[in-house]
Formats: sequence, structure tokens, C-alpha cells
Amino acid sequence: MDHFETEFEDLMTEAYGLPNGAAKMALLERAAELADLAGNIEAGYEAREEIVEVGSFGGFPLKAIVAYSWQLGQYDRNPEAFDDHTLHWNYKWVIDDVPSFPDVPTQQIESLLEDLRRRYQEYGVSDRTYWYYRFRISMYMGDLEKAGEYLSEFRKLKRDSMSDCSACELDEQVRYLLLTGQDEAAIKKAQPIVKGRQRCAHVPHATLPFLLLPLHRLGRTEEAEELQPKSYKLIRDNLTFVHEFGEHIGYLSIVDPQKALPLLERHLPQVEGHEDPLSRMMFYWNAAALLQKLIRTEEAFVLNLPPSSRFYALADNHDELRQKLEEEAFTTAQALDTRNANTYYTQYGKELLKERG
Amino acid sequence: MPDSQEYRFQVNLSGMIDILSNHLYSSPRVFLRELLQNATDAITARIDLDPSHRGEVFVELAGQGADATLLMQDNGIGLTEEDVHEFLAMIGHSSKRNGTELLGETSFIGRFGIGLLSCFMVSDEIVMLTQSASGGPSIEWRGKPDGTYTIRKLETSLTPGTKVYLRCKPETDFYFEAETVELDLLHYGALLPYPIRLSAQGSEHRINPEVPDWIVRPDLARGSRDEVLRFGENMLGERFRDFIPLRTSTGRTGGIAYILPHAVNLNAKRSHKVYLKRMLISEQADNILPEWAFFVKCLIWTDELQPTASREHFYENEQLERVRGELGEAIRDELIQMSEQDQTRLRRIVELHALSMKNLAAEDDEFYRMIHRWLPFESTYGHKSLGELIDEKQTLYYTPTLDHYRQLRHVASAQSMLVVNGGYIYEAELLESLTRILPGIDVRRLLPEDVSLAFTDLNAEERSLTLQAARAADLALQRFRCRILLKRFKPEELPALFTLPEEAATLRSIERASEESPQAFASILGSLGGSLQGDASSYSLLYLNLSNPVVERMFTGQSTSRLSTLIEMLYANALMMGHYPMSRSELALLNKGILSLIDWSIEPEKGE
Repeated sequence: MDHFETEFEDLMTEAYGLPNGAAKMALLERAAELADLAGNIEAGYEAREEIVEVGSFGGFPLKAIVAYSWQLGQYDRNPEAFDDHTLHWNYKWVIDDVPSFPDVPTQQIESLLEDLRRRYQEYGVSDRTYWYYRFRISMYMGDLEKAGEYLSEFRKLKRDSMSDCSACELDEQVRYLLLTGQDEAAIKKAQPIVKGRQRCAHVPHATLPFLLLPLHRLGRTEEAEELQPKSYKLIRDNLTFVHEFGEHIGYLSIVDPQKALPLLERHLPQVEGHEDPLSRMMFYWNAAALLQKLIRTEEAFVLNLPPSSRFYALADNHDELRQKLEEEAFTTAQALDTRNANTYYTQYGKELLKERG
Repeated sequence: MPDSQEYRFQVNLSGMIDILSNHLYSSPRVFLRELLQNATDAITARIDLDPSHRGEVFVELAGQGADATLLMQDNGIGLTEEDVHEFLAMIGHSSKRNGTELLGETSFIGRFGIGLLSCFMVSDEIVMLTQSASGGPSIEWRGKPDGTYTIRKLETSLTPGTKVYLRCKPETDFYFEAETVELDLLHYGALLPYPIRLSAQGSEHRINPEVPDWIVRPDLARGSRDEVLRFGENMLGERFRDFIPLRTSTGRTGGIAYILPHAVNLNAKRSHKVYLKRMLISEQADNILPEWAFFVKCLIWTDELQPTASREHFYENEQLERVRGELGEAIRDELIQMSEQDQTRLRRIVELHALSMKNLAAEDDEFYRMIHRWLPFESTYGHKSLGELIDEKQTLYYTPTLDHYRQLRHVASAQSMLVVNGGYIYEAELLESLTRILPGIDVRRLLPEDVSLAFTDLNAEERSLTLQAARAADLALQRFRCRILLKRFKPEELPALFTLPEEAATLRSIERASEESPQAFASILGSLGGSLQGDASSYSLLYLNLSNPVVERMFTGQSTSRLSTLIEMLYANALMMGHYPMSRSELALLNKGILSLIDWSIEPEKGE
């Protein structure tokens, strides 16, 4: 037993010293396995709590969902044994990732939202967070009308201990304005984030990439140019920002396609193995748009992909690569749309390619 | 203007002092820095008028405990009567601008007042005698913390400069002790280019060393190696063995980056000593070098950065970003130069600080190209540098995760495959991009299911001989979604090897979690798992080694009804050997199997 404890503590200590990413995840999964082997639920819970965090903020949403399910099961069996604030708080991260997986039917997402609502009520907080996540999830599922309704429900209630930080809430509202085509209002709303007055671990990282094209569209090209490298620097080493990598590529595809190539080379091999189908789809579309743009303008270019990449064989065959990326993205879009009972993402992809390609 | 009249805000001085001491400064001891700063500014101003002037600061301590007094004297430019009237007014003036200029680069007079104010943190009365270098009468100023002050013209004329007298207030005598004062004067003023002398308990001596030339011109530092290292030890409290001179293109920032003699954690606090205009501004400056430069501890001077209000840090602005970039360049260039001219030195540094080197290499191909040969890796050939591994002229396999490496290393070493552990931070990324910097090198990613590459297939005769048993074995493990594969491999003592392709691993973890989850989540896990099933890669693989005598007997001997139990036991054993946590049904398997084995060993099977 002592041997287990030393090894477990060593792994956890080593993990705590690392930034959120694959190396940290490997250590934590190993720690959770050790705990399971030793039948130590408390240790298994501790390791999984970290897995949920690293998974949610380091690009492993599936691992986060799996670890969280296990945690919640342990908690239900023995609620006194664990810290309920952290557990309830982390539910938000997990539920936020679920709609990205087209294999999860709408019915199950609904049940999950109701489960969150029930648990939060029992925990003694208002429905504010419930409405807020309904708002977010409706956006992800392409139902902007519903999202608008939930947004106004959410705004009626007062902040409480389960509320996201104000920077994150602002970020989501900016996203809503962008998705509903209100570039100017979105940019204006995002000012506190751009100016650095509203910030957290996730903001402005997740906000800025989506402002580049709107700024460009509004003719504020210099601001966009200045923002791009700054924004990219914030996210480049974190695989949770796959969609955001795509936004950078899409933006550069319009203003300076050659500059987008190093981003494509760097991130494509990382993204192809990424767990989140929705983010992967967004990245692929932007990557395809870039290739389309370069091919269309007959610009000479080379693409250097590592042999381990699934797309290695297509590195010199640009048009085939473009087709392949597009095809995979639209397959995911189709699956999401079928689940969501709309045509939102298929439409989204077509428009994206038209604007950026 | 009959009805309009202008008023002035009344600043409550004691309130302001409270703000300074409790919120702005990190400790009351900074009063000494503020006094020293005032003296320095005054001397600089005088040298501007008369370049031949030689500055000097004199500090005297008298009395003991609660009666202690401190005098700080400079031979700087001194203050005229107007200056003295002005400086307190200037405080209000400068603080009107959002506070950033409060203690920033405002006028000499404005700063002077603020500096003096900080002395109220340790003294209830400040007496200042001053004589301006531009003539006029000598002035005596007495200030109290309630904001009242008196000014008196002196009959006699003093030599130009300023003297400030402080009498320690209750509870602050610590700051008037000779040792504290000496330490702080050295701390703040070590780089000042004129002598600071301290007189206490009847003896007098110089505090700060003669400022070496190579601090001002870091390019000279290489010529005075021992002296530079000794100086670093004095100033930073560690015994260094190597350093890199730093300088920005403007020449307005420079210093020495000492290579830390021990490894540091990636998240460790950086603590560089930074001097602004030769006065210490921070010993915890963490934003003056790029993140990756955590293997150095620096002494840096600058006159081009803007301090924060407390004068203890720098503002994060474009200027700082440029300086940070250029200082990083200086370190990078030196490392690249070492790779060409002094490889032993480089190896020593890289071995000690592999992590930051790998980080830098992962971000910068050019740097990676220069340094790749010295980066250390763990491999089935031992802990070696990448250069040594490349020189083996073998296919360089690497595992993307630590787990994969652990699973594969025994099998791989038994077959002399060169497998590199890419599981630690940045390593897989580096190995993956190795082809980019060394075109033509044979690097391949190795997954657990790939070890079979080095396994020997059975020949036709062996295949037909084992076919029946192999089918029965496959059937036995079907319910665990595990497939068996009969091969020959080394080491012979290893009967079975369990491998788990990534998708199968995911599925396995989903199923294990699902056994424990509440309903709402269990169904979601079901949906997520469902999409993975059916795929061939969702099966785990159990390689059975026909070269192992026991396995050989199981598969080529007489057929036995015990086979399925034996296979299940091999499966469970392989799981345990591979440190895989087992599901409930697998644990049940183990229990049942052990009981059967005991049973059989007591009583021979019928018909044998």
C-alpha cells in the first residue's frame, strides 16, 4: 500500500508541475489506473478531478466526460466523502462538451441538462446557470432562436456561486452576436475583453480569434492585423483551441494565405487525432478554405507534413487533400445536423468555404 | 469672475502615507531605496551640469533602539527655496494622472517629494538641510506626517547637496539597525557608479563595490570570467559556473544571464535582479525574459523600461515586449554559437536544463537544428542524446505516450528495436518534426499494435497444427473484445503480451466508467462507446508466444477442455503484467481461474 501511495503521489506531483496537455494527461491517467488497481477510490477520484480539468482545458473532452461520469457515480454512492462544490462546478465543463459528439442523441443531452438543473437546485443555487448552459448548448446545436430565448431567461437572474466568471459570460454573449451576424455589436461588446479589463484563464484566448474576420469585414483591417499575432500567441500551445486555430487559418486565408501555411503544418497533425469532432470539423473547413484559396489564385506553395500524419500521402497533392478535408468535415456536419434536426452546420460549412476559400 | 472660485482638494497626508505603506510598497524598508533614489537623482542632475563632478552618498546611524537616527547625505544638485515649496505641491500634481506617473518618470522635484514622503513610514519627523548648487541660501525643512511643515533660511552656507535626518518611530527600530541598513543599501545600490559610505558605531566603510566595466559593457564580461562568476555569487547567492552576456540593440538594457547550476521546475518562479537607472527595482522580475529562459538567473540593468507605481516591477507594454524578445535572442544566439564552437559547454547546459531546451526547440526549427544532437532522450538503448541515437543508424521508433513506452520497452529491447520514449513533454512533438530538420532520417511512430512488426509469423505447418486451439482460444476471449494472435517473439520467457490500440483503450475506459456512473451519464457513455464498436481497432490484442514452452504445449499438444480457462488466465495475467486496471468481470475471471488451477493440481483430470 505504501508503495502505491508513493508512486501515486509522485505521479500527481509530476503532473501538477506540467501545463495542461498530453504529457500531463498521460501521467494523470496512469495515476488513476494505479488507484483503480489498488482499489483506492479516494485517490482515483483525486486523479480524475484533475483529468476532468486537463481534459476540459487541454483538448481531451472525451476523457473529461468519461472521468467525470465515474466521479459522479462515486459521489452519488457516498456524497459525504467528496467536495461537492468542485464536483458541481465541473459539471458545467463536461456538459458543455457533450453536444460536440454527434453520437449523443438530443434526448440524452436534454436529460443531462435536467440532471444538472436538479442537482443544482438540490445544491441550493438558482436556475441561472441552467439557463446559461441551455443558451450555450442551443448555440452549439445550431438553434439560435432558442439560444436567444434562453439568454433572456438567464439575464433575469442574479449571479451565484455556480455562475461562470463574468469574462466567460461576456465571451459567450459576444459569440451569440457573431453567430447572429451582428459584427459591429459583437466587436463593441467585446471591448472590455480586447482591452484586457475582463479576463480569465480562457478569455481573451477564446474570444480574440473570432474577432479577426469581423474586424476585417468592418474595414478595421489594421486592428485585425495587429490582433492576429497577439491572439495566436495566447493559444498556439493549447490543444483546446482547435476551432480557434481554424479561425486564424481562415482569416489569414483571406488576408495573407502564405502566412497560414505554417499554422496548417503545425496543427493539422495535432488536430487529426483530436477527440472533439466539432472542433475538428471547424478546423478542416478552414484548412480546406486555405488550400482552395491557394489553388484558386495559383500561388506556388509546399506543405510539409510529418510521416505520422494521416494526410502525409496527400501533402503534395493539394487538391486531393482539400477534397478529403472538406469531405470529412461535411460528414461530421451531416451527423451533427441529423442529430440536431436542422441543416445548420452543413450550411455553415458552405458559407465558410465561400467566404474564406 | 465674481462667482467662480477655484479650490484645491485637501490631500490628507497621513491617509496618503497609510496608502503608501500598506498598499503600494511591499515593505516599509523601501524608504531607504527612496532616499537613495533621491540622492542618485540629485547627483545625476548635478553631473549633467558639471560632468567632472564626482558623486558620493554618506549614511550615518546614531543612537540605539528607540533613539536611533539616520542621516543620508548626498553631494548632488540640492534644492532652492522654490524647489522645496514646490515638491509637495508636485505630488498632488503628478498623482492627478491616474497614478501611473505617481512614482514613475516624472520630474526630479515631483519624485523627490514622494520619496521623502515614504520616510514617514519609519519616522515621525523629517528634517532636511539642503543647499542648491546654483546658489541661494541654505534651507532647513521640517515636515510632520500631518502635512504641516516649516521652512527656515540658514545663516551659514552649506556645501551643495542635501542631508535628510530621520528619527525612528516606535516599532520601526529594526529599520535603523546597522546590519539592516547596510544590507539594504547594498541591495538597492550595488550598481551605483559612486561610493555609498556607511558610518555606524564609530566605524565607517564603503558599502558598494566599484562597479565593474563589464556590467556596463557586457561584451567585455567574457574576458573576466572569474570575476563575473564571483560577482554573480555575491549578488544572487548561488555559485554559478557559466554565464551569457546580454545586451539589447539600443544598448539601453544589458546584463549577465547566469546559467543556473541545478535543474528547475517548469512552473518555478523566476527571480531576476533588475536595476533601473542603476537602482534595484526588483529581485522577482519574472516578465523581463521569455518564458523558456528559466534556466538562467539574471542581473539586468535598464534605462528604457517604465516602472509600476510601486517601482517594484515593470509595466507590461510594447517596450518590455521588445526588450524581452531581444534578451531572449541574446541567449539563443549564444547557445547556437556554442553548438558550433564549444560543444562540451553546450552539452553541460543542455543536460542540466533539458526541459526548457526542448520547449525552445519545439517552438523554433532553427534552434532545434542547432541543438538537436545534445537533447537527451530515454530509449531502449538507454538514456542517450539524440545525436548518439541518430548515430546508431537504425530506424528510430518513438512512442507518442509514456504508457505506450512502458508497454513496449521490454519487448522492444528483447528484439533490439530502437524505441525512444516520446511520452514526456515536448518529446513526441520534437521526434515527429525531426524529419523536418533532418530530411531523410527514418523516424516512425510506434503504437502498441505495431510491435508485431518485429514478431515472426508462424510457418504453414505451425499454422495448421495450432489452428484448432487458436480458434478455441479466440472464442474464449471474444466477450472481452480481445483477439488472440499466435507469433514467435523474444524474450521466450514472455508467454503473452497484451496490447491495447488507442480506440480499444478508450472503449475500455468508457466501459469501466460506465459500470460506476449514474443513469444520465451511463447512457451518454453508451452512445459514445457505441460509435467506436464494430471497428476492428476497437479490439485489444493478446499476442501469444509460440516460442514459450508452456504456450507451445497449450497449442500443439493434445487438445484439452482446460484450454479456455488457461487462455483466460493468460489474458488476466497479461493484463496484470501490463498494469491495466481490470473490470469487474475480468476480476471474476481471475478468481474462477485460480480456483480451477488449485482444483486441478489436487486431482488429475479424468482420462490422464
